[in-house]
Amino acid sequence: MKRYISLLLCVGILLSAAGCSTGAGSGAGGDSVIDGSGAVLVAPENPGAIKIASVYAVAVPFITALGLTGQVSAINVKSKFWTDADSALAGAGTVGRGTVDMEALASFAPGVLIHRSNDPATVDAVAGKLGIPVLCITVENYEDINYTLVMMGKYFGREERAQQVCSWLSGKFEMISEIVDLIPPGERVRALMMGGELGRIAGGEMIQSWMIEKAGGICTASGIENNRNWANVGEETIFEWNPDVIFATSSTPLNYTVQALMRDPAWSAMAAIKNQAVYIVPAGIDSWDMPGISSALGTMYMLHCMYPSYFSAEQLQSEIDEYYMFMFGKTFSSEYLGYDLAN
Amino acid sequence: MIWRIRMDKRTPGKNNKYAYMLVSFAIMLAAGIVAAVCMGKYSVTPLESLRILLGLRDGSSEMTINVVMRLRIPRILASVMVGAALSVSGAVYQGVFRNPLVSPDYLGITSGASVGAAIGILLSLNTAFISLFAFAGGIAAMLLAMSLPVLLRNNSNIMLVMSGVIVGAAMSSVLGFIKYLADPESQLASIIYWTMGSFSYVSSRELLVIAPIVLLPMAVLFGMSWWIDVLSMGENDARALGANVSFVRSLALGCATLLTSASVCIAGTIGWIGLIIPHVGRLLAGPANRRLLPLAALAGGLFMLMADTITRTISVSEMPVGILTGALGVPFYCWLLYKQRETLL
Amino acid sequence: MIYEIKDLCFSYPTSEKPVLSRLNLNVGECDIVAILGRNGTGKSTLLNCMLGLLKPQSGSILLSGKDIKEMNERQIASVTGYVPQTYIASFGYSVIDYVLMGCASRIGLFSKPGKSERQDAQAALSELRIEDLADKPYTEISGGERQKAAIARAIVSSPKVVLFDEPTAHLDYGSQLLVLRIIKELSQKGYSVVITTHNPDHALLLGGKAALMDENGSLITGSVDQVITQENLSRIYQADVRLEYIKSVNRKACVYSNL
Repeated sequence: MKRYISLLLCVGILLSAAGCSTGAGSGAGGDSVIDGSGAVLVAPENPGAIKIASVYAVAVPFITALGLTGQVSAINVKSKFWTDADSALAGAGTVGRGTVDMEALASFAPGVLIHRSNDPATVDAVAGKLGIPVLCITVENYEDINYTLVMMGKYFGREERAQQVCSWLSGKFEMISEIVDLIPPGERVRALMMGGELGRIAGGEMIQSWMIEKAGGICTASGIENNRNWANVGEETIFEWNPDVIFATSSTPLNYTVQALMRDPAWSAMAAIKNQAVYIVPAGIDSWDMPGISSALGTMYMLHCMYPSYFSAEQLQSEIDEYYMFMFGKTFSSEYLGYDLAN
Repeated sequence: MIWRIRMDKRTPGKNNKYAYMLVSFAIMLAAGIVAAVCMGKYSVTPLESLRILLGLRDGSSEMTINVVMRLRIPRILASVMVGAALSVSGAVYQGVFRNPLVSPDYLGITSGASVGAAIGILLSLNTAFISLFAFAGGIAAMLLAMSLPVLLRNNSNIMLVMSGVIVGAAMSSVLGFIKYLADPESQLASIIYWTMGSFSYVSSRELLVIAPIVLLPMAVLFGMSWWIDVLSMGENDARALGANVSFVRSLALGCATLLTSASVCIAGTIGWIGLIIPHVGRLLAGPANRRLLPLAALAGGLFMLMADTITRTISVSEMPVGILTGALGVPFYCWLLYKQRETLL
Repeated sequence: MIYEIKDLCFSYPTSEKPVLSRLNLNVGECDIVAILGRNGTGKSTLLNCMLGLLKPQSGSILLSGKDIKEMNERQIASVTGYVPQTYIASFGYSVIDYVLMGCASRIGLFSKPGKSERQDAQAALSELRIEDLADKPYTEISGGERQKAAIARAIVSSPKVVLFDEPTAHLDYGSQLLVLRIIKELSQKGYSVVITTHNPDHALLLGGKAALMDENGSLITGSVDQVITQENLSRIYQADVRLEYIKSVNRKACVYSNL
């Protein structure tokens, strides 16, 4: 019996490992990884010692989550939150914002540059001219998030931590799914994510739309294919959809305000306006709707906004505190993060 | 280089032929407006749209009324106004600079307005402020372009043209720098989209503010249209004929610049209209500005209305209207050049 | 006196040497004054000063008794008519619209030519015998016809003086004679005429007065017979020029000697 249970446990562990790992290092002897652009990189012999640089703000949560901030020599952070949350990042320099300053990068001489996948010119220049390996990451959906965590975990020798984060994420999304399963179909709400301008929305392939669906909403933009970019569908299309809830992104500055939208007579007949259900996804300085680990928070926030009776403000606040404790070892006030669950 | 363009074989229209043309365009524009009201991605029948337009709103939902009256109408009126403004502005620039190849951004106004809007986007301002910045940028570019000849004490057309080139180039550099500073994941896309031209974000309030800034200069230009003909004789000739060239030119260019700046601030940069519609107007009504300007206004309004209606109805994602005007404008301009190939020298 | 020019001095900002130097010239009513001289001696400059297009450094120009410095463009244009040397048309205005521009001195900023101006324009076209060209585009008429249209534009507002800048420069032989005939007729109808020309023979044909510009920017003025002498022409043009009386046409003519 004991032998039978042990066998089952082994199979279970193996299956879990397989579920969290989707080709991040398969078949290359364990010392190599396949990055987000499909390139094969050899993991460094002493991964704990190599210096890390990046101009890609999306990489920062992953670096933080894997406990790599002490190895960062140059970074681009979207807001002061990251340097407040982790003092190791405060001392980091910069090699550019979005685009790489080659000479600055050469002077920092990091062991690896973490960069976005769709920029082969930079990859060629950095790797070819400076001999610095470039680890590309693609973070567009939940699968990408998991892949990136495991791949970076393997590269930097933080597999255990990567596994922890993946498990945390999958646990949260499972919890969300369980709650959503309780919501009768007749109570499901129609929602969309608005971008920086009115009429610009997250397309069906973007993580924001996935989050809405995961949180139990019916994403009105699910049919919009726009190559994972914001789609300019125009206000009239949004009027046609007449969503019950509108989320506005916090990943980019908005050229409108929720108050102005609520007061605009043109929008007054929309269900979301009548329901007073227009929400800017928190948090201003650490966007929960950017593709990344905080997407779980964003999804929970959407669940609370759409179905408050199924996921209360108290439950959400508890999850928020747990997330920041898990990621940074401390919590942050809602005032600091810039959200108010009372509204 | 001065280009000579001869008129079509048809002689300039006599008064009743011109009047007939003007009325025809006015009717087409009115019909176009009514058709545009009935078209869009929101499901409402043409009949219901017309009933709402005529004030017969019983039976229509509040949403439907809002779509027709608050979304479509301001956008339609804005597109007509901008099309008319850019066409009149283009015709005036071509007359003042005696060059049918000139377009409204000759003095770097479009570049200046783009810089203004880009600054607004960079500072994360709301739409109203972005428009205001765009307007200010256009005016600043014009003032710069017109002050250089004064500083250099050479008020000739060629000096003004060179100033425009300098200011336009300078503004393009500034715009490039702003794009470099912008967040590549959000602001840069907004700046680029803005520079391609769109009526997506026009509001009734903006329209009400901009309308006098368009209508008043247009009225002034219609009033002084004959003097633009005199200016097109050349500076020395115009002065010898009795024109206060500096004043008339400044007034004409100032009004034309206001038209361009106002257009750019609500719709972004939309090219080709100011270049092509005056040509169409000359083919139909001759080069005399007293006939050309009103016809260009109507034809430009109609063209822009059609272009914007296509961009907002043809696909799920709205294409910037500047792309369509370019796509339509380039082959049309080739056809114009082909028609006039023997007369261009 | 239509024009009284005294001690006129003008130099361009970029040039050290004055173009016009203490120049004196009078143009009376019904006078024809032909201004001759080599290229670059300032004939067109003088004309531009007389039209108020250039501001001289010193000296005075009285136009119908008024100092031209105190007149604006409109006032000057109400007294003068101008036929430029060339006009490259950017747009194909109709001939009548082109001629109507000559009425600019009496049109307000927000006005257009009315019935009275149209009648004057038609009359001017008739006077030049080109009324059938009224609706034709300016760009589709011949060089001679364009010159006639330019003259019609110059006289449409009945100026006191018409100034021609090398009116025969780009015309064929026959058209040159035609234009000279028209100029003569204008004088006979009461217009004063000032023309600049390279061709002394044209001055001889027109008769009246002549003004010969020398390289120092000053004028030798007088009647055509007084000014257009073999000695003066040879000195000014640095060429072996002869004045010969031709019996068959009963006038002196200016000819080159052999090449």
